Amino acid sequence: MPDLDLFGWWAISISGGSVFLTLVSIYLYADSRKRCKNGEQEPVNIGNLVKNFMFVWVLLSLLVFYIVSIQIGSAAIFAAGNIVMEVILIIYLIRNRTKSE
Amino acid sequence: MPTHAFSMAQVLFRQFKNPIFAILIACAFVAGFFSGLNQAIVILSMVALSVVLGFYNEYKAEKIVENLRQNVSIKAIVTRNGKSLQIDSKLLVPGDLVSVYVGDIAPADVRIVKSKDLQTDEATFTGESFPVEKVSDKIDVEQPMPQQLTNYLFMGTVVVHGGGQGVVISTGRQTELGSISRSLARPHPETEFQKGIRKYGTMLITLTLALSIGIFSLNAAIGHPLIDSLLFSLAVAVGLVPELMPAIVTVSLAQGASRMAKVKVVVKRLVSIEDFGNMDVLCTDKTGTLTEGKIVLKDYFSVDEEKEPRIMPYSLLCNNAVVEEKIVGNPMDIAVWDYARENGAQASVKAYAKVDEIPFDYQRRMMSVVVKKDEEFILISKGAPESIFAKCKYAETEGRKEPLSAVLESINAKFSDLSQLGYRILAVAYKDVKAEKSYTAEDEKDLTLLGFLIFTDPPKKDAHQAVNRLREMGVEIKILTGDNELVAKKICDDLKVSVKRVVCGSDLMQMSWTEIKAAVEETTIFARITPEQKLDIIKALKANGHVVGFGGDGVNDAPALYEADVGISVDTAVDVSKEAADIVLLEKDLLVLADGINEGRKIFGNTIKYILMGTSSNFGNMFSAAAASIFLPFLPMLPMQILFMNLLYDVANMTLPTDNVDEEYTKLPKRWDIGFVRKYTLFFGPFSSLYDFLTYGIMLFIFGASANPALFQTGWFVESFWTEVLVIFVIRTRRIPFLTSRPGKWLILLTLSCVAFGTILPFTALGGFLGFTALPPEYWVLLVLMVATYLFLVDAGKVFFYKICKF
Repeated sequence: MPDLDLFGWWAISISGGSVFLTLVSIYLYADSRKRCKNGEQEPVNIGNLVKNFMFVWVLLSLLVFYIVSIQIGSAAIFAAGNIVMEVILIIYLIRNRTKSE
Repeated sequence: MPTHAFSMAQVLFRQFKNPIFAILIACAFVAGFFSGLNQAIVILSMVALSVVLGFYNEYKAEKIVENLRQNVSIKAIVTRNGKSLQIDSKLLVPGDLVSVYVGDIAPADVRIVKSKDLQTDEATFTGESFPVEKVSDKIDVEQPMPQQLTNYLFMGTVVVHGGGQGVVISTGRQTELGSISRSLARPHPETEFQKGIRKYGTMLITLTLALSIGIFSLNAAIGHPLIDSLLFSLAVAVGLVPELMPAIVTVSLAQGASRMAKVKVVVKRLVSIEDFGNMDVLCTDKTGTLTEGKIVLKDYFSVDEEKEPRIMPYSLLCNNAVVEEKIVGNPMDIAVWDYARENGAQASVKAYAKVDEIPFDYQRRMMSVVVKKDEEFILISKGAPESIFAKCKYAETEGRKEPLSAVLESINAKFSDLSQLGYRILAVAYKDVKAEKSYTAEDEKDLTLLGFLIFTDPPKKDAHQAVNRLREMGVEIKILTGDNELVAKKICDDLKVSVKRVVCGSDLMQMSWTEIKAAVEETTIFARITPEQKLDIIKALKANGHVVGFGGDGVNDAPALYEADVGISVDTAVDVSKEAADIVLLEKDLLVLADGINEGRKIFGNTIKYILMGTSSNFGNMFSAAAASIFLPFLPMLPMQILFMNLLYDVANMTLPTDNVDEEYTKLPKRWDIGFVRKYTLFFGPFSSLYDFLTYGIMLFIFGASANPALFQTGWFVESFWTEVLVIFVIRTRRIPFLTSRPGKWLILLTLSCVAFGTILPFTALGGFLGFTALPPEYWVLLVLMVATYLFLVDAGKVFFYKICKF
């Protein structure tokens, strides 16, 4: 088992970083909606939020996975989990590219 | 004329006005004081490199400007004490009586007292393509525009016909030309790019101070030694600053300038390149830019609008041009000869022998010749239509003579239509005469009107294509001309430039500043305007938030060239306008301009890439370093290691100026948007922080580095460097990295070389010197997987970010 004090600090730091990034994403999203002209705004519903914030869900999933795998202290689980997440991200990226991109 | 005073010291001092240098120099002193000279020397070397590069470029440009200014020297023929003397125009004083002849440059501003067929070329001064008639008569106009001062010679204008005498009214600085030059003897207005860099510097200073003070206070509060805390906060401050930014920007600009030279665009002031690419409004003169700047005979026809075969030989005979290898003379006479040569009509005069000539004068506004063909003598007259009509009794239609009065109404209507279209027209008439010893103006009567010559300054062949290309590139064109509105409108019609509104100089004079600011937005043509009004238009457009380019080559264009964000002149322009310009085109061609703009956009794109990537990566790394310093019993990275990583990162970025720029990025003008840089840093910075934290976790809890600071620091150094450098390939484009947007080959080569160097560094003696140690093999496997996930995650973040943040 890792040193709990140090691990606690570490978990707080990495979680803090993820929460910060999530908050920045929400701020940017809200800011972009504010700058949109009336009528051009996408309606806010669960479907759109899941779709638009997909990368945030991936990020939060990664956070949970990283904290768990580090807590277990297994390099093998860490490696396997990374590969799974990469596959998920590749699928997301392919589906979310426009033709010009 | 004012001198362009500058010294090496001034140019050198200007280099240090950059706030980033201020941070770096302060850091170097503190680092030298606390942690030895090595760090101070490294930082100061970076500063010195940037200063030398910037100084060299600016000093060279200033020298060119100085040389240009010294080339202006005009001679004058002055009558003093009844004697004519040739003196340098600098020695003229008001009240001197000066004489001017064909080919002379007016040596001062002169009130004409005597003139004989005097015509001047004021194109560089007022934009008027056709020669302007100058007389001694008084003018009855209140607040006349320069174009209306027909009894006035402006210093710098060229006498193209006749001669005259006048009294010097003002000399040197007091002349119109002098006032234009005087307006250049002030600091160059800050370009949009410079404003952006300044705001960016301020943002960095704020961020650096906030983070440094915060980290120092926090570390000191939790009991870390004060000196260690100070040193660490200092390293974080240095880590945040993209040290090589000034050098990279200068190299980027210099390389861009070199590439632009290949497309015949010479950059005189490097900082203008970015604005060149980003300009969204191009104000240009008409003559020589949109038009050929040369009068050509567009057409000729008889009274009944037929191609009457005698008009061409008659116009060639009644002509003052001196025809040798090169044709010299009045531009309209030259145009007739050019037309004849191009159409093989010059031989048509062979059947005629010239007998006598009645020269042109401004009372008659016409000239005549008497020629002999076989045994017949013919008097041919050519001149202003109103003058010729007054001397005609008949008009020839369908081969028959009929009274002029019968057709005068329709002729006048046609004449008026053509004038409205901006054409200049000369009429040709003739009559059979008896053989005489000589002929006088008295013989110019009872003529038969034969036809008309139609002259124009035609649009350039590729001007339409160039205007379209500029429009597609998001650059709106506005025409600022001293010429009349009809001519300008005709050119716009020819080039299919949609004219929203036409405003004349006299209208502008009545407008308040607020009205001018509103008018510039909706006006396409500004006609009959003065140099001061051109300046006002540029200022108003800038005040409305546009990045304004101004293209001109005349004396009257100089103040506007100087004021614009990008002053664009041509190689053949008058010296004072080349002096004032930032960019000089070697070909007076808007297509060359479009190529240059495209190049400018690429340079801006690559500079912004460096700023965005550097700031966000540094911010992320330093943020995680600051957090780690709180819970770790040792420094997460030594100050020297932070500096070394920064240096290595900057080296990897040195080839960024050569990187490819996506086509869509150069489609429209971009602006420096400090808000966007802030958002970008806030969004992309934490990505690298997260993976830094993850590395801490791996090092501490998988590889047990809590008791081995060197292992921890090495692990983080390698991860941090890999992520910081490899992410360049992801965020350099909005497209799919490598698949739909290929990075420049030098960027790939240097970046991967740097990654390789950073990877083997811990195994080398230099690595040992820097405090690194060998990493376990399992770490490398995890690192590869972790960095791959990081790059995919950043790419996903990029899709989200660009969906909501436009730039």
